[in-house]
Amino acid sequence: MNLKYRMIVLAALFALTFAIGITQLSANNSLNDLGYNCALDDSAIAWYNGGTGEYADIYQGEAISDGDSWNNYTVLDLTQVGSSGSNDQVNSYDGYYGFTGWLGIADPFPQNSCVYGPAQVVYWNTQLNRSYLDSGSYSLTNKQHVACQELGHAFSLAHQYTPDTCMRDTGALDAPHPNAHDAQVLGCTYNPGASYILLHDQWLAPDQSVYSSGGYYRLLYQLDGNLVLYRVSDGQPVWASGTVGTTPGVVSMQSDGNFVIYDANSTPVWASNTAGKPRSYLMVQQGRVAIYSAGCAELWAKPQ
Amino acid sequence: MRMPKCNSRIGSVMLIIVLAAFGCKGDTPTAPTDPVTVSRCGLGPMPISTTGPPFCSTAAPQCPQTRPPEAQTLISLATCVFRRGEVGCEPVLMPGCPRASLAPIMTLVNPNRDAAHPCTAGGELQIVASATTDGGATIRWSAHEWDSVTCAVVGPEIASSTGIDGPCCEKVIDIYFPAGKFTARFAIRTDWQP
Repeated sequence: MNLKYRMIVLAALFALTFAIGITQLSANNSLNDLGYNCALDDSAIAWYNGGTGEYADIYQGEAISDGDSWNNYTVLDLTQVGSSGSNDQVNSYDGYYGFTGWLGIADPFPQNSCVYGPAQVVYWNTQLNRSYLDSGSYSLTNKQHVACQELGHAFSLAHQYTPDTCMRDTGALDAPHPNAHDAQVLGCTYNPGASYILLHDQWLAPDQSVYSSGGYYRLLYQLDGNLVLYRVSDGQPVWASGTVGTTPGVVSMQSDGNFVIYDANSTPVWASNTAGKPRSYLMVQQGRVAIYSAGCAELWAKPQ
Repeated sequence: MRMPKCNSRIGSVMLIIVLAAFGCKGDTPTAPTDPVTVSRCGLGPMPISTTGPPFCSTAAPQCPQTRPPEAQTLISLATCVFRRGEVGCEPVLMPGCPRASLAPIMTLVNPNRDAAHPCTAGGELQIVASATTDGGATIRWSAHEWDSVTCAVVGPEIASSTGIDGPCCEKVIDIYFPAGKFTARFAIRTDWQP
């Protein structure tokens, strides 16, 4: 094989790899979409922290208490319970499970089978294997990442390829939190009926607002006509429509997918320009506001 | 320019293309990429994991007694990994009780982790085992391998399926991860209880 031919082969390989990469980046990482109907009934999930010592703290942070925990960053509404259970629940444990080959495991318990059937999973267990994790070779971030990832599986997520998430398909174990893509998929998986969602045909009147999950961000249609996303902790604006000075009318998430601000004369003064995607919805997330199609594709987001 | 002779069998088509283009520079002979499967039947009662939590207190495996048609099938899973230079490993039971279906998702260790291969995890493996009406099981698995240097996913998905024909049987399957040069071994065993 001469050098020229090899370079042609490599160019083809890289083109193929790139094409595959694009496909993966756009892939939905819901286990449901991969054929595993493993989602619990709804986003209101009981969660039992059966962790011990350091691992109880790790689980607590990743599931509930961190600002970017599954509970605070996504649509999930976790209720911590005091004992393990088998009714729409996730039970989290750690232990010295021996040299099993796995650092962490997420284990669904279906009534029958969570494979190619209706959603029948009644509970999940997650386990962290201290036989490895306590060996001194794994940092706190590594342990947090594994905990975050196993919890993500229990919340019905598979691996994905967008950056900076514990669900990323990578062995680095250095991103112990979900990202916006995970939040988006969970929003779709668990039916976007939550308070931080503006569904199609829903609207905001002047001085009305929508809060993100956990109440950390607020999208407010102000009396001065401006639509502003605020960080609640310090009141700092994160994004604004730039329509200050208009006479406020209504902010509408229209059935055609367009998100439009109308003034008091019903004249549109600002739009997301996302028409043509019926049944889209707007979600107030942590630090951003985004519009998703009915099929979960992100159509628009501010700040980018 | 002559190609150096490769002594590796590579499971990834892409890897084959790369090696064909640049020649093979594998540092050690590598194991076959096809799953190595061992089956055996006529076994006694399946062992129950004593590790936890969660602990198992309810399973009552009945093998090698004859399974009645209405019996509940029990499936257990044991796993381990072994690295280059090792001939095998003894699978360790997953904690909890055996049951009629399993679909765990596992974050695998990188057993060859060192300064030159620093990534903390080696891949991910999902095993789906479901009981069949005759007391056996269908088994499917899929795995992604992560490069031990860059930590990025490498190679195509490794996926296949097999089955266990009846109760009181075990199938041991080896899945070779060519980039990381390690093998994940898992054992699925069937039993039954009234």
